[in-house]
Parts: sequence; structure tokens; C-alpha cells
Amino acid sequence: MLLIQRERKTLIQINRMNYNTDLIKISKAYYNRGLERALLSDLSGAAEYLKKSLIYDKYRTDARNLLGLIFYEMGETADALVQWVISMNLQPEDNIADSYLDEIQRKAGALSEASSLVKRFNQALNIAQNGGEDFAIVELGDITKRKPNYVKAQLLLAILYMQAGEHIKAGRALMQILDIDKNHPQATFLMEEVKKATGKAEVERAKLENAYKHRELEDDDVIIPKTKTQSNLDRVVIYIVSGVIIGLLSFYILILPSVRRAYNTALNESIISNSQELSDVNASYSKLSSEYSELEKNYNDVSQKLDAYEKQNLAFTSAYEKLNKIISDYSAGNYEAAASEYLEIDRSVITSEPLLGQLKEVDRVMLNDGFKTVLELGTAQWNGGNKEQAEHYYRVALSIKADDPEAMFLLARLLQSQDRTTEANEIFDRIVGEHPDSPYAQRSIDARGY
Amino acid sequence: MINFQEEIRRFKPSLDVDNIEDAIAGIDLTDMTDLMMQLVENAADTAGKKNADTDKQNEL
Repeated sequence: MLLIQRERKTLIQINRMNYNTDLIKISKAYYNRGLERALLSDLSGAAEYLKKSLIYDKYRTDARNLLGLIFYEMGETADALVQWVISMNLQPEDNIADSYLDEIQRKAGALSEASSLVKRFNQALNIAQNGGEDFAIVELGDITKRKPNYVKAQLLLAILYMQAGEHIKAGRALMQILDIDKNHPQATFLMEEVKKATGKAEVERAKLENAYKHRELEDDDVIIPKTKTQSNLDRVVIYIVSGVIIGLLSFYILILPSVRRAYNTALNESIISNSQELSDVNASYSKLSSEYSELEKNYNDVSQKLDAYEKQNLAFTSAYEKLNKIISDYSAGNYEAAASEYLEIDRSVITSEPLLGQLKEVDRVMLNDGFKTVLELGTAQWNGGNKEQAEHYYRVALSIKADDPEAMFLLARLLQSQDRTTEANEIFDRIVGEHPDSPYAQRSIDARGY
Repeated sequence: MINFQEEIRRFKPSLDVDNIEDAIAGIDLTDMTDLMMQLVENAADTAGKKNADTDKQNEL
């Protein structure tokens, strides 16, 4: 019994070994075919063989790695990564897939870019399948521009172009595919359709027919070699000289006038252009000059206004100070100075409301209290025997109120007391003439002694 | 005459880099060698059972 079981295990192992050997051979054969096709840039064909190779032996790392490379070459980065990752899992040591994965990971942003383009392709595909061909064309155009080896995108774009009747553009997309994958079945088929639509198929067929329809030589045909004519030296020289002369004549007659004309035209255009520019510059200068004059005038106006304002301000300040000084001197008992300053006031410069108010107040003080005070001072001086000082005060009072009959009378009486009769009489006469209703008129008549 | 709509409909989305893990997990890696071994083992098991039955009958 044990013997039988041992024998059966041995038979299974032998069978397994035989099958393994056969399958490995088949797998290897497919791999070789795939490699052959890949070297001929027939990537689709190569991929088919490599997939078959892996069906027979999943451990055939070379086949899987090459399949990954083909996917990568056709723009399917994720499919390539899948194959290389599986390859690394099945054969972790001494596997070139490791370097492929490293290479992709080393490229900064390569994976994210690939992922982004795949997402956009899938979206464009979805849109195209749902009737949005125009948008899909635009999107796929951009995708294929960024990744020309993206075969699936190029193919979809070509089909959409063909559907839209744009066979030339479709042909360009298909050419891109066939540059990568020479025998891509769909691209080849569609390219034939494009050639038919654009008429290129006819041209190619005609070329092929011409190439293969050369008549073969028959026994009676004679090939006559082309004979070279022997030219003698004189004829050669004559030909050369004639050629040079004809060339020069052609140049002077045909080319030079047109060159001159072109030169003159260009020169004239340049002059016109320069004149125009000069005219523009002059216009700009005139405009700027006018603006400058205007600005200068404005500046002068403003400057004058400013000067006037400053002068007005100065006069205002001066008048304000003088009025203040009068009040201040009067308050301090300096009546003479106050009166003198009061008489010096330039009323023409006092136009502003605040100053007019202040002047009114000064007038009120000086014409009433000030005048009376000065007059009383004069009388006090006279009573004290100081007639000279008394006369001064009377005259100050009269300077405040020039036609006051009382002040005039007092001054006249003072002058009369000093035997200055003529001066006194003149004043008495003025009082009588100018103030006949005043009580001082009668008193003046009495004092003068008419 | 090409049926463009049909051609477009046949397209399948590309695999995204973000979905690699799922794709790898979903791949059936069974190869012909695995299938053959399975067949051989099944055949051997069947043969073994038959022998065992014969032995039992002989013993009886």
C-alpha cells in the first residue's frame, strides 16, 4: 500500500516536471515572438504575445517587464506600474522592474501629471460617449499635445475628427499612433479610411503601380548611352562672356530699376513717416507750450492774489495792532499818544468786519471820553499856569474833533490871554460863522468885542 | 462605413495611477502551470481514491 502511494507521488512529480518544462518552453517562445515584434515597433502585436507568454508562465519576469514597458510607451503609465509591481512581487531579487519603478518615482511630478491626464481622458471619453464630441475634441487635443504617446487618446481623437469630417487632422493623430506602434490594428484600418477620404490612397496606388509596371528589357532593345558634346575652349569662353553680359544686362534692365523703385518708395515712405512724426512732435510742442503759457498765467494770477492777500493781511495786522495800541495807551493814561495814534489811523485799509467793529469802539472812546479828557487836561494845565501845555492839549482835542466849538473857544481864549489876538480872533470868527446856534457863538462875540 | 458611435462606445477608461492597488488586487495571476498542476493533482486524487476502494474490496 505504502509502495503504491509513494509510486503515485513520484508519478505526479514526473508529470508536473514534464508539464512545467513544456509550459515554460511555450511561454518562452511567446516571449521571443513578443520581443521580436517589440523590436520592430509593433507594440500591439508584442503585447499580445507577451500576455500569452504570461498566461503560460506567470513567473516569466522578462515578459512582464517588457509588457510594462510597452504599456508605458503607449502612454498607459498605471498599467505599466501594475505589471512592474507584480513583477517585483513575484521576483523581488535581481529584477530590472525595480529600476523602472525607481526611474518613474524619481521624475518629479511625473505620476501626478500622468494621473491628471488619465482623469481628463476618462472625463473626455465619458463626454464623447454622451454626445459631447466638440468638447471632447478640445480636451483630447490638449491631452495629446501634453502626452503625444498616449495612444488611446490619440485614437479616440482621430475617430472624433473622422466623425466630424476632419480627415487631415484625424490623419495627423493616426500618424502619431503609427509612429509609436507601427501595426496598431485600429489605427492602420482608420488610416486607410482617411487615405480614401483624402485621396491619398489613389496617389499611393498609382505610385506603386508605376514602381512595379516598368517594362522589362527585351532582347531587341538597345540602350543608347548619352553622348557628351565636346565644346572647344573658344566656345566655352564665348558662352561664359555672353552669359555674364546677359546677366549684367538683365540686372541693369530688369532688376536694378525695380530695386531703385523699391528703394525710392521705401525712402519716400520713410520721409513721409518722419515728416508725420515731426509734425506730430511740433503739434505736441505747440500744445505743451500753450499749456505751459496757461500754467504760467495761472501761476502769476495766483501769485498776485497771494501777494494781495499777504499785503491785505499785513495791513489788517498793522491796523489791528494800532487800534489795540490806542486802547492800550488810553487805558494807561497816555492820552497824548493815544490821540496821536488815533489821528494816524488809515481808515481806507480797515475793511474787514472785526476791524470795523474795533474802530467803532475806538471812535466811541476817543470822540467822547478821550476828547473830554484831553480837553480837561488842557484846562487843568491852563489853571496850573502852564499855558503852553494847555495849548498843546487843546490842539490835540481839536485834532480829535476839529470843529468842536467848546475846544475852539477855549483855545481862542488861551491865545487871547497870551496876546495872540489875531489867531484868537480867527477862531472866534469861525465859531460865530460855523456854529451860530452854539452858546459859544455869543460868548465868542463878547470875548472878541465886536 | 464606419459606425463612429459604436467605435467610441467600445473605448474603455484608462487605469488611473490612484487605482493601481485595486487593479493589482483584482488581477487573477493563475497561469497554465497552476491549472495543469491542479488538473494533475485532481487526477492523482481520483486515481488514489479508486485504488483505495479496490484495496478495501480486496480486504473484504
